[in-house]
Amino acid sequence: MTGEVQVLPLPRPRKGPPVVESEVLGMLILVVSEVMFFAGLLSAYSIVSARSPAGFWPPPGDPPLPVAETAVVTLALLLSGVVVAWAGRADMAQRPSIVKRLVAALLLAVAFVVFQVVEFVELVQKGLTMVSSAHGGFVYTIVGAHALHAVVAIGVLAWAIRRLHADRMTPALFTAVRIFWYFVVGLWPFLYAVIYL
Amino acid sequence: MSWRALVVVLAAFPAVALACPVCFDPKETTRSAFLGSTAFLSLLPLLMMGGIAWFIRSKVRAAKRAARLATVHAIETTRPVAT
Repeated sequence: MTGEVQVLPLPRPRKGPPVVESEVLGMLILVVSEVMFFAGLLSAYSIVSARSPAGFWPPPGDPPLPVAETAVVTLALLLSGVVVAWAGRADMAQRPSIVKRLVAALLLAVAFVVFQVVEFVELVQKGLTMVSSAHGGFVYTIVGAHALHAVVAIGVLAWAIRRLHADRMTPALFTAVRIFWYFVVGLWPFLYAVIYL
Repeated sequence: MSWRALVVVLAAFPAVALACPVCFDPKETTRSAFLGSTAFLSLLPLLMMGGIAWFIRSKVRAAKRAARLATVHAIETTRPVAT
């Protein structure tokens, strides 16, 4: 009797879903680099403001920044973050409800950006420009950079709404979009505290 | 001098290691701002990368836990029922 050995193929390990989706990891890395960009700007701002003589920052000739009005739109932006978080907690099957929440967040963010454009125009008319003082340069650079990010976030959210509407949004992509939104919303209170207060 | 001794000396006398020629100002507030921003910019990336590492670790642990539960469930459901 010849013993034939039957070789059974080993079961191939099943490839499960990734622990962290590429979209989410990529967005986290982008956010980390963006945070460092703003941290560099804030550090430069803190050093330049510390070097100025006591009581001379902002320079006496510069127009005051609209602290109270900006506080109101800051609340609008924070509210948009809460609304996006609320949309994120909903089941992906409830698309119409998620789309409504995202549209509300989008409108709040648009109000924020429109206010900032109006604020910039008024400040320029009052004499605060990029070259009028170091303070002016920092205000337009830091607040402007954040406004640019807010515009990009609005575009990304609009794109997400379109994809959701067409039922082409994956949970990972939606998470990545929300992470960028939280970054834009979460960064602003720090910038407001440093620049405006 | 070994490198460990050098590290100890530099840690004890940070001014010796101050290599930036413009990061000095006689004003106390400016020096504090330099030190504060240096600490901020040094620690922030570490905190953020640590946060991401913690996030991935918690996801890995959750995935392992789910796989273990699925295995237990599969064993229990395929166990022959005694008649």
